[in-house]
Amino acid sequence: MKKIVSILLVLVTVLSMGTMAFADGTTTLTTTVPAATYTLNIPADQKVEFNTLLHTLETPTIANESGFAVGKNILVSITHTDFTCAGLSTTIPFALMTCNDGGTRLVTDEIKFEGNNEGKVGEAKREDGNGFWLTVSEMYLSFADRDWGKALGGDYTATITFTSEVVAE
Amino acid sequence: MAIRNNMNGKHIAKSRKKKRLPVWPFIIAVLLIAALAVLLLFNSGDKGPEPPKVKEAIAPEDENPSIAIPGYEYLSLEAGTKKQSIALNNPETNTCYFLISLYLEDGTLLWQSEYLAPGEVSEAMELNQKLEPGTYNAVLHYDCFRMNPELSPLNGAETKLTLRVK
Repeated sequence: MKKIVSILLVLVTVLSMGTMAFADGTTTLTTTVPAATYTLNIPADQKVEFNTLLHTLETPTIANESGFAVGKNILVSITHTDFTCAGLSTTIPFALMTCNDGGTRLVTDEIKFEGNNEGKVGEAKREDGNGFWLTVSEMYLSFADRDWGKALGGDYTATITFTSEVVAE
Repeated sequence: MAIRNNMNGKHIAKSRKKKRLPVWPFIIAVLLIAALAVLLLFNSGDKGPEPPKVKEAIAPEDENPSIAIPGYEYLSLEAGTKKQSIALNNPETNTCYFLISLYLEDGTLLWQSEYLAPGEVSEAMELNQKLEPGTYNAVLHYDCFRMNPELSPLNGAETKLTLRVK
C-alpha cells in the first residue's frame, strides 16, 4: 500500500511539473526610462552700444543633461521684445540671427540640441531652410541703422525669452 | 436723592436716574474695526511675492554673464491635494534672483515661488488648486532679476513640461 501511494505521489509530482511547463510560455521584461533633465544656459542680458548693426550674443548651451537618447532632443524657441524706453513712443527693433560654421547668417527663432546614445545632447543647431540642421557657431542681434536714427534719446531695454522643451523627433 | 412734595404734601423721594452711557458709539467702533480687519485681510491676499531685501548688490562686473535655467521633461505631483512635496531651486552659479511660476497650458497659474537667491530652494509647492489624476501640459516660467535694489529685469526662460498627477 505504501509503495502504491509513494508511486502515485511521484507520478503526481512529475505530471504537475509538466503542466507548469506547458501552461507558462511568456516572460515579462521590464525597463525604466529615466526622466530627461537638463540645465539651459542663456545670456543674462545684452548691452548694446548705440548705432551697433551687429551685436554678438552668447549662444545658449545645455549642461548637466541626462536621460536623452537618439531622437530625444531639446528644442529651444526664442522670442524677444523690441528695445523700449519708459515714457517714449519710439522703439528699436532687432532680429535675432545665427551663423553656422560656413558663415551663413539666418534669422533664427529656434535651435535644437540633439540627443545621443550616451544620454547627452550635442551642440546647438539651427535649420538652414532646406530641412538640414547645422551647428550654430555664433548668435547675433541685427539692427537697421535707420532705426537708431528714429529713436529718441533715453535708456532702452529689451528682453529675450528662451523656451525649452524635450521633444521626440 | 432729590426730595419733593406731591400735591398731598407728602414727601416723595425721587431717585435721580443714573445717566447711562449710550451704547451706539461702541457698536459703531466695533463695526469699523471689523470692517478695517476684513479690508486688510483681502488686500494682503492680492499682493504678489514679497520683494527680496537686497543686502549687498552685486556689481555688474561680478555678474555671471549666463543664467542657468533648470529644465525638466516632467514633474510628478500628488492628486487631490494642494500641498506637494516638490520644491524648485535657483542654481548657486547664478548671480540673479529667480521668480518661478508654474502655469497650466491654458494659462492658469498653479503656483509661484518667492524671490529665490542663488543657491536657495523654494518652499514645497502649495498649488492654487487641487488636480485630478492625469497628465497635464504645463509651463515653468522663470523671471530673472539683477541683485540690485531696483531688481532690474534680465532675460527670462520658460520650460514646457508635463505634470504627471497620481
